Amino acid sequence: MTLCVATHQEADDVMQEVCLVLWRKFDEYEPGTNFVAWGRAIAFRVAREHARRTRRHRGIGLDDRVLAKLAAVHQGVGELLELRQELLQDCVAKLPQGDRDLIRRSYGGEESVVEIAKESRRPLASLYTRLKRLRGRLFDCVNRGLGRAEGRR
Amino acid sequence: MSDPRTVDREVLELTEDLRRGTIDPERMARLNRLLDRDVALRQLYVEYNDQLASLAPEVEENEVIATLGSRGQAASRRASSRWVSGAVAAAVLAVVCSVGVALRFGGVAMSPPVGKVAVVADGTVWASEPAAGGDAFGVGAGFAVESGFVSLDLGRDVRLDLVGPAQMRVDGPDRVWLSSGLVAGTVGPDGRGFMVRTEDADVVDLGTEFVVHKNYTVGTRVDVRSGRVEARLKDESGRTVKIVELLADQRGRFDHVSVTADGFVGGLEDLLARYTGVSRARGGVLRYADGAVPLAEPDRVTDLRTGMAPTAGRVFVIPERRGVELAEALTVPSPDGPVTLPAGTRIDSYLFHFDVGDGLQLSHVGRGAVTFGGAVAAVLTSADALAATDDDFGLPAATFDPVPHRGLESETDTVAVTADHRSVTFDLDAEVLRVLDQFRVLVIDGS
Repeated sequence: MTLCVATHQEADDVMQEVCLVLWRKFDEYEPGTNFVAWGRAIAFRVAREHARRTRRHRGIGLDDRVLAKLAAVHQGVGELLELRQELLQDCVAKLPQGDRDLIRRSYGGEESVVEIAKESRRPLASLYTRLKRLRGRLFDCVNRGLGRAEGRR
Repeated sequence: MSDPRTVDREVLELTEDLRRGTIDPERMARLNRLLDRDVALRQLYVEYNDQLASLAPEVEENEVIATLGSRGQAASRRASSRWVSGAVAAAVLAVVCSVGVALRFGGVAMSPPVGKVAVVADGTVWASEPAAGGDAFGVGAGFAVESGFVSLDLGRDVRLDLVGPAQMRVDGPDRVWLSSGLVAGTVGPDGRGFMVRTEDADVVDLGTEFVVHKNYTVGTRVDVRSGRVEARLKDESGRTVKIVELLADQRGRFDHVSVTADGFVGGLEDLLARYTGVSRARGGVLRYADGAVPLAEPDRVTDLRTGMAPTAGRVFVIPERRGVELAEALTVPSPDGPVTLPAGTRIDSYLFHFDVGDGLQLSHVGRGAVTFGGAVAAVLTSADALAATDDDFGLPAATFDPVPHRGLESETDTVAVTADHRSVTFDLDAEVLRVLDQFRVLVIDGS
């Protein structure tokens, strides 16, 4: 689903819609077949529809063909993503206290970056830049944990 | 040939821009091309997106589906019957969805109460865990309604009507987050500063009645019924970029994508129709208690003959006519004796309807109370009085039963008006052979 949506708020809304559709379509689920695959397929379709709406509205978004290809990749790397999430926790823990706090506040859902900038009296742009760098460092850290060294692939 | 690391960095940059909404069409096309042609880049994109999602605390689809799957599959393995595995999977679906929803749209009190559910209209379909009238809720509680409407009382003189389909979260005693759908707010003097937030705008009430409608295709629309609101347009980063003040009967549209605020918009008919529906259902009623419930769609209930609109142990309060001006003085019977209403009086009428349907129990009891915005002028309880006023005060499309047992029975049913003339309390007892009880309340409009 995160492949098709841009913001966490959108993810919330799409998740709601997924649950509703799963409810409505439950009669179509054939007991004994792969429940996860069924649920994922529906979730992907809902998210893709959302992406289409957004694309129509904003004129920008990933193509359907690309989304389908991304979904195929996503399906194939489930275990790797779980491992990455574990490594990510370790990487966050290794950050200096100030950076950890910034990550926690920015992604905690209770404060916006704008509010943090106001409170800390730091320019908004510098906070965005800082967060972007931190995301990059965390991504590199996880990759190193996977033995990918400096490379990302 | 490009250095793979350079291309990797480019994909990450483009991904960042896409998520922040700052990507332009040219760079979007570039990202589509890169992802389309190279599976390694697609994996890079998937991994980076997953990391961005992992940093936030929201429940993600992976988590929900994976939980669904693991429990559903485990249950399937244990269950020998296909029916049982399906039923278990359905139950898991219910639990996981409600948990997933509950984390963001919980419908439960997650912290000290900041408000109460005032009314859940009969026929309301929930998309989150159902709530009932009187339930307390705290910060973090959420309400997702597929159809119907729910009224919430927040402290400090704030009443919100959430009209399905809609999703809303309570973010504090003075603010809510509207993800989608329509919320109508009535805010008294003590509630000034109350805020309805969407991704497009923060709508700050300055003592008024207003409607906020969040829709993905048009953004956020605000319609001020009375008083004054301040709407703060936001951009993609959530920063306030423009402040617009809207007065009574003014409307505005706000869109964080195009970062626009229009002072006037057409095409609000659908919004107003939906609001009018709720307004009609709510009527001039301030409060319902116990077994008195409004109907989500009162106009759909037109056949009010015996057995045609069963009320399942509750008493439906159906707003009939509003603002009927009496051309001449009208004398109506009432439990306290005849009442004469002078010519020119404007009347709102409400039918209380109690129908036990095909129940097999020996008796059915309906108790409750309703508080009106105006003074109660008369309560018509006899079948004759009801029939005599159906034409003037009943819903034009309604069909009534011309039977003697339509009215109340004095030996088993009681209706009383409180000393301040604002509330009606009732205690109805319907027997099997007399399955219908109705009475009509006339309220002086605007009193």
